[in-house]
Amino acid sequence: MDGILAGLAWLGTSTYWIAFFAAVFMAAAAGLVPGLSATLLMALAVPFIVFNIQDPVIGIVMLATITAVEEILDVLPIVALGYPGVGQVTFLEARPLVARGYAARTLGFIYVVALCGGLIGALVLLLIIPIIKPFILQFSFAEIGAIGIFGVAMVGALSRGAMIKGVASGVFGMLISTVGLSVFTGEARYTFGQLEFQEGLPLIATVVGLFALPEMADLLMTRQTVSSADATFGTREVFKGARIALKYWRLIIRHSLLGVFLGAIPGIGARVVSWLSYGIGISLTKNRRQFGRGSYRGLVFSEAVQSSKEGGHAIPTLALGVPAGQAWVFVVVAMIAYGVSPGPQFLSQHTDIVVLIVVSLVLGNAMLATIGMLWSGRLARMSRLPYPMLCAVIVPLAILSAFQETRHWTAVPIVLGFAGLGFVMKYFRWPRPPLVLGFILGKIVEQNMLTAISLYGVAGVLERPLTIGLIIGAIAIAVFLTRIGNAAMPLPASDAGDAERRLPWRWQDDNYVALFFILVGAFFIIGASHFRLAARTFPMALGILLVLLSFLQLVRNGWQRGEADVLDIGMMSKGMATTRQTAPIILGLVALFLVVAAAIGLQYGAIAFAAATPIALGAGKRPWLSGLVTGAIMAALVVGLFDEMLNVIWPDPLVLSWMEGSLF
Amino acid sequence: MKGTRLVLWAAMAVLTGIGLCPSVRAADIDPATYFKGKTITLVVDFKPGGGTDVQARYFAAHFGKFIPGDPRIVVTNLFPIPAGHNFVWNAKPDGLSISFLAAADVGTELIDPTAQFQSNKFEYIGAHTARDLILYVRDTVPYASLHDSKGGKVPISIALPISRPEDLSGIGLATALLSLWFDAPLKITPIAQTGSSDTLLMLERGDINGWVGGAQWYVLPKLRPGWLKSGYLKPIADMGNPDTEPHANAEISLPIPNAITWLNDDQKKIWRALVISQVLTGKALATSPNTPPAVVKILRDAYGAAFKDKDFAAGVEKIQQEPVDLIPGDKLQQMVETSLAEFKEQLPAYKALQKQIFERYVKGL
Repeated sequence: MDGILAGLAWLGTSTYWIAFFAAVFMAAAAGLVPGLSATLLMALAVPFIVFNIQDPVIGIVMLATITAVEEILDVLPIVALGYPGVGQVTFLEARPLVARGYAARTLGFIYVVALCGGLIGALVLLLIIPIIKPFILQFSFAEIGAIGIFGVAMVGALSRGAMIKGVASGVFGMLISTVGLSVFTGEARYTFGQLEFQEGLPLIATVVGLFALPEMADLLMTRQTVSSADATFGTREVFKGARIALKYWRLIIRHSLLGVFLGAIPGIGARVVSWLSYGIGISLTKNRRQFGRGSYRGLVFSEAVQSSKEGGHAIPTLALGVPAGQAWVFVVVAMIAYGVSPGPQFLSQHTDIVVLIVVSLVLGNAMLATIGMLWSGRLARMSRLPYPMLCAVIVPLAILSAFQETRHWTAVPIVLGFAGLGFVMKYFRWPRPPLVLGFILGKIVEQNMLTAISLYGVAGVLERPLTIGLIIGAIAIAVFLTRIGNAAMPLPASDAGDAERRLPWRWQDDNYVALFFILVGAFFIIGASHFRLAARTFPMALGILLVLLSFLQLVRNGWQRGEADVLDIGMMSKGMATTRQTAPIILGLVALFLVVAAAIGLQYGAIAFAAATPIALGAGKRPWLSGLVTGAIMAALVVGLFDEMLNVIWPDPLVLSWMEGSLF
Repeated sequence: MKGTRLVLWAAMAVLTGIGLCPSVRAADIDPATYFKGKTITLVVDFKPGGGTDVQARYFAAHFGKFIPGDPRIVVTNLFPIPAGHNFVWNAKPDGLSISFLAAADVGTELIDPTAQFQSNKFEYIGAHTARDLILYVRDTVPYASLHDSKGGKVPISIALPISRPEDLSGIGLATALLSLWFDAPLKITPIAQTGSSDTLLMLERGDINGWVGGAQWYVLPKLRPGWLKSGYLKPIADMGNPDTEPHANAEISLPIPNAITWLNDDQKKIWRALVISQVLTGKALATSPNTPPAVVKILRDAYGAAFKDKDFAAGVEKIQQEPVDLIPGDKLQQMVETSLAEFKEQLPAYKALQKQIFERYVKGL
């Protein structure tokens, strides 16, 4: 009781409030600036806080607050700028709502859901932290691997209407997750001799390429804005969204609890929780056709867990000293630097810190959600800006963010390569969500399952009840989803007629994707044949599966007519007259970016792209002036964010390297 | 048009002139002003987070004031290992790129094909921690020391990320080599790269019963209070540099002698060359090869002055949670030279031992 009172007593001090507001301000900055993640922000903040704030209570609480509330505001770029970043699940549902003119309403909805998720996460943290240890100890590699397999089963939920395409995409995602050093044999798999690929394909570069750039290119080709012309903005509209959110309170509680559960398991990874929650949510919903078309339920599935998982992450961090999320590592570092031991004794010896963290999470969530709601009415108007102007800054910023993740030039071809694949998949209605899910889960499944087998043996793994339960659950869900997926998708009447008339097999254009998958699968199979057993099994099995599924799709597709209703955002620009005019310009701008980046430097390529896009696409009344503005914004970001704050070392431009190599 | 061409030629001539000039002329260096207004980049071989990165950021904030001219210092992360080290190796020899090393892994270039550098050619600024390497086991393991475990029935099960199975290095090599010589019942479980907190969780769950820790010797009483004192976890081999004995931590002093005392003369030579070379020091700073001696001297003097400053040293101890063990740059340079020469000499023995280690401990994984 004394500890609780001591914690609450801090609320009466100005020191606490100054630290709290500083933490919330930093969290807001990290949420709003693409490229500035919580991890990076914490890396910058920890030495400053630990050496300038002497009181451990304030220092630790401040860091925990930054970490826990950072993600609340990061929906703004998704909704107002049409930039999905790594929040693809939210984007899938928010994008159609914004296109219908509900940007402000969507933001209001999301803030309330995120706020509730954050509050539930903080509350559960307080309630279960004293009793959590036995639960966490139950989750070893086998169980985490099994959760990964359970997640893979969710591919079925994301493959509505195109089960084979969806599963093939998921398998493709898992297959490319095997790129990198095998942790079991040390063999470099599919790295082409590049040191930078040894850690695998970078998540941000891959996902931004696959999702963000195709969406932006599509929107550019429509020559429209993110929001429709009849969109309504203003605070009233935001609060309308908030009221709608409250109607989903049961779902919010359910998925917030799921977020805490998933967040509390070290090794699951923050990126996967939204997808798992989305998959589970879809599985438990009767009307599955609503998803991917602007479903509020879908937004709840995504956002409630995103926010509540932070409370989950805090549980093993404080109770065991095991950080469950990347940014929480810094909280442990700070605790040790302050001489505060995480672990069971932490709860009894430092109840004041636990209480103050919980209170700060509640207040931080509430404050950021309030700020978001009060400003969103205005900020949502950005969705009416001419898209070439937005795109001029966001596209190069996305590429530089991807580069910043790896600090190597290989990020650029990865982003652009996956952008090409993403665009083709989007165009030909191959669902991309299963690919992303497979990519995130592939490593979790392979590494944890093989570690479990090496620790306990195959028989030992099969004797673990929780593991078996999760795997059986995964199989049952996969079968269930396949059945309902097929049942829910009867062929359109005309197609059914075609099928009855047994039309001859005909080549379909979307078979190019299947053909590409077959080639990739074959490449991985051939490559895997040289690896040792532990490194070979996973890519070999997945490669074979990918080839079979893609071949099946290719054959089956010849008899199908019409477009399937897949869970992904389709081509908005398909068939539009503007597409033919804009597509070559976009390609030209990408070429300009590449040429300038190779000739004088990546950062200058980004600035050139930003300056040239509005001019080339005729944005605004004075495109030249628009180009100057966007170019200046990009230059400011390059200098202020990447050079000064993140201290990025830019890759040597090819021409300069060549000149140095040949002349001097 | 003619004017433009003239400007272009002039620009080319100036650029060529700049390029042909050595980037730093030794004669031009004024220690008081050389670093003024410049930016030093501290390169860390790891992603942001973790001990080395946070410590480098502490240096970035506080080390500059000890260098004449108070240059700005920034941290950048280049990974995976040895990308950062390669970068500093290839950087201009002007003292503005400094590798912030977790450990001076001498000899990496002899076994890692991705290493572009020669460790003895770097200009070392100094090291400020010893590199401890201690094998711990759970209380369920009945051996008092690794040396006593000969022919034992209870396996000592440790988890290791294995990047080159036929070329174990660092922790893996040290443990496997001793186990091979002592016929110890070692069992290696390959795992993905994990932090020490995950490994402690594995120990607690009973997934493994052994653990090789570095700087954690000092942090352990904070991460898991009582584990060492109660004997829940006991150190059974000190595999660190015998020239820098670990200090007592908050719970116990190391109850066993350094592993080198268990070895015969031949084994000692091999051990020094192959293992001690990789644990010569803990955190160390090195700049690019061929940096002018005057610039290196400025940095070494600043490093020495920084650790004489009580507040700076206390800050380093606070962030790294282990005592400062200072090795001046010139001494470290000699240590690296000697160590690399020893490693080269023992390379045939290294290859033969790696084969035996692979056959016995790694092949069946």
